Amino acid sequence: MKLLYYPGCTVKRNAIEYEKSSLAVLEKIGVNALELDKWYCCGALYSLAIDDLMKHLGAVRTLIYAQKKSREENTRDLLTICPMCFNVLKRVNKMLREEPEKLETISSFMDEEEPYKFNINVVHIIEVLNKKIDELKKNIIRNTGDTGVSVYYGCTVLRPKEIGIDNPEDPSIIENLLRKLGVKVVDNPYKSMCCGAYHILDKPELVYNNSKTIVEEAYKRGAKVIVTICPLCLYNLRKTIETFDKKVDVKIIYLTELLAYMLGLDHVLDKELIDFFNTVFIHDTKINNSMRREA
Amino acid sequence: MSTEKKTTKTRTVRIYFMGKAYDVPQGLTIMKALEYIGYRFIRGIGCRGGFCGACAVAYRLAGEYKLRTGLACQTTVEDGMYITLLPYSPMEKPRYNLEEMRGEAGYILKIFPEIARCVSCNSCTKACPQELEVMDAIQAILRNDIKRAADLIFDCISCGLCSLRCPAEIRHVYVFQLVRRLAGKYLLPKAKHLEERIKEIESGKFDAEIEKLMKASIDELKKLYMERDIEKA
Repeated sequence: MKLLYYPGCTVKRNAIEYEKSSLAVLEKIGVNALELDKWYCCGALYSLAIDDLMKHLGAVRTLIYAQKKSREENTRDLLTICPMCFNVLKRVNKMLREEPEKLETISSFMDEEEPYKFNINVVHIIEVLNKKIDELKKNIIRNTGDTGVSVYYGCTVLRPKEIGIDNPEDPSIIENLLRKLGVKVVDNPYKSMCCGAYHILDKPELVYNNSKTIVEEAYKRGAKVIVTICPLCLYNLRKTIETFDKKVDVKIIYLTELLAYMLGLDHVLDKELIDFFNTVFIHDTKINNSMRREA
Repeated sequence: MSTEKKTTKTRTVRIYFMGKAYDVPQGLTIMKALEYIGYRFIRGIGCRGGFCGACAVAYRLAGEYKLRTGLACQTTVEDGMYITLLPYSPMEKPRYNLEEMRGEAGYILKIFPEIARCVSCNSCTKACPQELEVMDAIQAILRNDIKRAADLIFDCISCGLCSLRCPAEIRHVYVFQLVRRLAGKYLLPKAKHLEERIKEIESGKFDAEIEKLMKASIDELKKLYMERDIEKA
């Protein structure tokens, strides 16, 4: 399976561990993710003003560049791991398809580029992992025992529902994936509630308030680990935990870090994180068993 | 002979400058055409060879809506050209201490947060008289690829045209100066031979030689210059 890959700025700067673990997991299950050698900031947030076409230019340029590459590489799928990039690229793609007059305005402004022909399909890594569930299953060398893992989706892979990858109100795609891999999933009714996003900059109290609800609920239900797929959600949840008076024994990590651990891809994980995994998932793993046999 | 001269009269083109029309000889650069008219440059002029970036201009061609940009010393006049000079693009010069920084995007964004407002409109690239990929360089900074950014804008002559066109009001001239400095200090391989040579100079290895040169007569200097070792290509 071959995919074009759009990393996004955040993944290259503040969420390097997310990219490292994601690419390693994909490689392990036979997915070839080819990073575009030219790409532009997607804009992070999809501009909602109907005449604010300029804010879409970065995304449009990326789609056009992916289109050029798609002919060379024979694949139309553009992989994203950052949910904000996914959201913006997919919505811009949809807007161009459905509103030809906007495409025309944008195209005449970008007369130095080839015309966009809508042949790019924006996908998120969860969709890819879900398709490749059998490969994942086959390659697992560590299980997570009885330790509770809770999932936090955030907003942007789910909403608006036209571009979402699952039910926007009650998503289950990641839980189903983890269950199939033998993880004990702890449900969290707040799994798709907004963490507060960029308000961390101007109204941090709002973020702490929302994120506290999310973390506390998962913790109360017995989760030791919360997995997320969004660098901003991860940042906000971690920041919120720092503000707690009473320390909670729960760690926020990327979904792909957990998967990398289960697949034994230790070279892409921090030693500190591996130590944490080794302590929190103490129940017999295949590796532990083999070690015991040797001893 | 004299009658022939009359028939091969210099062909002229009409240009517009400061609201006035002038007929100037065809084939002149904008800079030379303005001097032909009678203007004398004090500022907004430098090397006359397209390297220093002092003589940025903006112009429109007859019948065209697009605003074009270039260097006055490199762009030839055309019939119906409306011209203005942009010798200087106003922007505050930031102060920073390189020693307290690293070759990472965060340090650049702290001084120039406006970089994050780039919408990839490409106006900067279209304005660049050096034909650099200016937008790609700004985008490379955003994704923390400082080395690539430094590479892309190595030939920047700091004319400031990109900064005047940018809707995000990025101060490219100073951003790129910082990028080059950070790349040179933290990201590119160190020039070992240069460090060694500096040590040699500081230890006084060449002092006697310099003293000798300082006292030498012009003729002696000329002779030494002619007989110098020239590095082989």
